[in-house]
Amino acid sequence: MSKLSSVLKYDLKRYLRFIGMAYLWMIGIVVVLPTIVQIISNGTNNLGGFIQNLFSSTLVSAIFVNFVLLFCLGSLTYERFEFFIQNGISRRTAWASKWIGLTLMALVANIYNQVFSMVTIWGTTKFDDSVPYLETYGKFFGERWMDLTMMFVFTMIFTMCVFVMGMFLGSIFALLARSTRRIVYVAIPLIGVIVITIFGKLISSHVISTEGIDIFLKWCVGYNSSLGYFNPLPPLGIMLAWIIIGSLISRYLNLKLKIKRGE
Amino acid sequence: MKGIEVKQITKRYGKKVILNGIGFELEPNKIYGLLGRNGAGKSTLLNIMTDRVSADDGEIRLDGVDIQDNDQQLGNMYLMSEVDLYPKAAKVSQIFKWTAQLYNGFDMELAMKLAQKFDLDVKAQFSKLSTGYRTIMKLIIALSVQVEFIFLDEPVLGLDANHRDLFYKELVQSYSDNPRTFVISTHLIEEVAQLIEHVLVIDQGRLIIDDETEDILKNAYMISGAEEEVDQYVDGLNVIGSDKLASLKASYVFGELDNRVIPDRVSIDKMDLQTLFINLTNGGQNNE
Amino acid sequence: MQFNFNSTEPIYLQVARQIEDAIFTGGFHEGEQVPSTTEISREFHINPATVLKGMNLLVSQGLIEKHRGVGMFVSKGAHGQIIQARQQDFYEKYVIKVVTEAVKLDISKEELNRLIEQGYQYEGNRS
Repeated sequence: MSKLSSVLKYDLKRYLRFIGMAYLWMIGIVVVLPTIVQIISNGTNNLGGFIQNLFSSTLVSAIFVNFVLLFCLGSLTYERFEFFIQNGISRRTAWASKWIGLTLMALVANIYNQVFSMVTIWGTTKFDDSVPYLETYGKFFGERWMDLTMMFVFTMIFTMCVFVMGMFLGSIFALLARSTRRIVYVAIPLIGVIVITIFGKLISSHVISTEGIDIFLKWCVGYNSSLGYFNPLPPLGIMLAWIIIGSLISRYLNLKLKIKRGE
Repeated sequence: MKGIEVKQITKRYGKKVILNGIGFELEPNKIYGLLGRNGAGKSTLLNIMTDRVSADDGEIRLDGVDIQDNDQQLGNMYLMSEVDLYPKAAKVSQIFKWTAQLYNGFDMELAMKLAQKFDLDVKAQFSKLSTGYRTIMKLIIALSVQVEFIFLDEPVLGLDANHRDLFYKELVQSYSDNPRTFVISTHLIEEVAQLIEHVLVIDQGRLIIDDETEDILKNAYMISGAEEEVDQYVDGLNVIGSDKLASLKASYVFGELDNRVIPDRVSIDKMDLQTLFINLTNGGQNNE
Repeated sequence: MQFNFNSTEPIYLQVARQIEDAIFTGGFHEGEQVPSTTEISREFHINPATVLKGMNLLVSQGLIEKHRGVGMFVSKGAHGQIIQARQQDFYEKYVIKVVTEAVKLDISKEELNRLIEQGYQYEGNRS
């Protein structure tokens, strides 16, 4: 237990540093850079309003950065394993620490997001389109506090799906030899293009009907034509299932990690 | 049992058998020498013993508990090896701190003192250090981290003569102050011959020697003289190799000489560890 | 103290002999402290257990003694004891060898006696 807590402490420190740096970059690109361009081209006229506008757009960027970051942090596997095995930390503990660490990070990001969203919609009765979740699923319970709670659970689970995907892919790549990894990098997009092309051909020549796919996809996102609004429970179920399956597979693959020769 | 038990470890890479049923025990507070030619499987064995790679067969136990995926057991060992498993961008002092956090005990005072003695800049980035200084950093960690089993795989790689001397001195000092088990894997046998109490020799994936250094050398002889007389004398003894110069011959015998009569013109000397090792591991060829 | 090790004789015996030599030649005087096990092992990269074994041999011979918590010291009378022991060994270790070699080289008893006389004169002139 004490090992897990010291590993977790190490992980969280590193994650926070990464996130701090990512946010600095983001603010640099989304706020500072356009401001400089604005000053050069238009002088300081109405600069306050301009910057205010930029900052409101950082919310979307922040959500994006959170997802990208959690995905990346989830996928970093081999170098982390190298460092931990050198320091006498088992694969099991290293995996558990990463999972817990990223869940905590997701929790913090979502609490922040929740508070920010609630402040945005404060005092309005109709659901603001500035909060993506509420726009789609916000009418399901019909009681605002329940919908807001669901919003928190839903986005939390979604964020976890993202880092579990990172961990899942990261552990697959960590097990491949460098040469195999290169082949995979090239092969995956290639196969993707081929599959989509074939699929498109099949659909356009009516070999397979789109109806079944259509119904399935609608069910997945929780669309209900008779109710006229979306039900968050089916996608929630699918995401939960992915978190469990993806985590178990990534854990299994992590236990198989080994120091590669000559890399 | 206290200590480490290596049980029937077998490892293959593809079809090649690297380790073939290796088994021995490491007792607490002893200095071991793990000797073998290049490619004999020493590094692979140490990697398996610290769970960096897994064996195809067999198991490693530390104080009676399987080490695989066990924080408690892995946290009681440190392997210093040629590969660099530390983050490239980290500073030396940062790596010291992390080691202290992840292992349950690290003598930071000693680490800093050693860094000063070796002229290691602790503010430098690990990736910017030369091969020799990377080795030094890892050696300093190995001596400062508080574990009971320390494995040093080619510990003086890239070190100059002064630093090698300093390292051996600090190793002995550290061992005297705080006895624990060291396993030194090296091909520079002469440098460690007086340090190692117990010798393990691996040849072609098999353990061929597992004995106290003193007992091994007690029975290692060089018989030299005229070829005919030497051959006659060593007949029936365990001859592991020989050297020939014109009609003079030296035969290397590993084992007891029994009480046979020593011919006048034949002389018997003791063999040193290096000579013994060379003759044991040259695949049975004579150096004639 | 200057140690010279060869690689074929057991190290603990060499450690013991080197310290004994140092007492014999006056490097360490009676009552003086000899270097600690750690100092010797550190300096010459020798396993401390081996050095200790050599030291214990000298302790058992009564040449050095352990002062608890302080270290090892040269015993009273150690110098005399070494001289006595070496005198006893002198015949076996040197005389027999010299005579055997002389016989091989056809050097007569008178010739050998003359050479010994000459050797004493040389030593006398030196000191």
